[in-house]
Amino acid sequence: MTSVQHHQIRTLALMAIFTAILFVQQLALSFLPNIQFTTLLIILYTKLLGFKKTTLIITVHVIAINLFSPLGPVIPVYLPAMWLGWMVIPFFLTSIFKHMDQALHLALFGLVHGFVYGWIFAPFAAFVIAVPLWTYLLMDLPFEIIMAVSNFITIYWLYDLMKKALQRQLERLYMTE
Amino acid sequence: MKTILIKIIITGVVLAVAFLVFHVFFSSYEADQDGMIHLVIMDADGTVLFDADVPFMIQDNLFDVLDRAFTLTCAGPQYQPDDACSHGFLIFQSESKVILGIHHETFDLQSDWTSSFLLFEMHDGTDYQPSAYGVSHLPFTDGSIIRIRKTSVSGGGA
Repeated sequence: MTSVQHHQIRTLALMAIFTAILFVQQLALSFLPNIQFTTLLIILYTKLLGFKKTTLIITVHVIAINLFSPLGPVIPVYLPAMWLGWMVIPFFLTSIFKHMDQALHLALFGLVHGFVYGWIFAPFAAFVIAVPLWTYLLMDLPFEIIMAVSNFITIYWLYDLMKKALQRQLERLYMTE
Repeated sequence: MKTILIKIIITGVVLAVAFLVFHVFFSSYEADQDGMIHLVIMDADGTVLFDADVPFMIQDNLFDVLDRAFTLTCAGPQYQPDDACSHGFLIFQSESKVILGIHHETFDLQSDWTSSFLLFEMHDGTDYQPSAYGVSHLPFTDGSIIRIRKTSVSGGGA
């Protein structure tokens, strides 16, 4: 086996593990509305793995979480909303906010993302449950606030620590090739 | 040490703002007087199951009014049916009940949350409008007309 193939297999295994972590934590915390580490993890993955690999992880995660959600399979109409909602993170963190790497700045980005995620979901959800968009946005606001605060706290307190730990593991993984 | 202190202060400020927003905008509604609401309960096919005045008392929210008049089935933590209605969804200390079913001696209306739910609508003088609030937070006054309609999640209205 060539070293390129070795590298690809390791990267693939790493992405599978990262996807599994994303999936398990979201499932484990699904009884708490909108409290999760998903935003923090996607930010970390974007910073460490880049746009393409994070896109793949998000795509697999969205499909998996919809198949195995404890509240039953999510309506297919929600799939693009969920995918777009999460893709906002790698998109912005590899373009406009490419150089953003301070925990406080990323925490503020996460805070805003809590609302943006809800707004991306809103037209799809309002269509599905057949309520006016404004009504849905009002109903969703408490959940957006929870997600925003949860994003802010997890990123602010854990980003630096987790990035260092994961970076160390990645270096070890690729050094032993 | 200084960094940790700053982090604690900033986190505290964010949490305090969130609590304040919830307290101001999302605390449970409580009636400030006794009175009557006109209640209409409708099945998914448009059949009117209940159409009458229901009394409320001072400090009641709509859940209290319905709980006194009917036998309710609420949503448990995983949105499973909870006949005891013991569970409320706590968001920043503000409790929100979710009603899945209403039972009365003349009818039994049940939804399952994943494919159907009970939609609360307020009459604005000309037509019913979907409520932006749930049963614990929906504001009402003496003479308010409220309709509860079993609604399909994927198909919209009744």
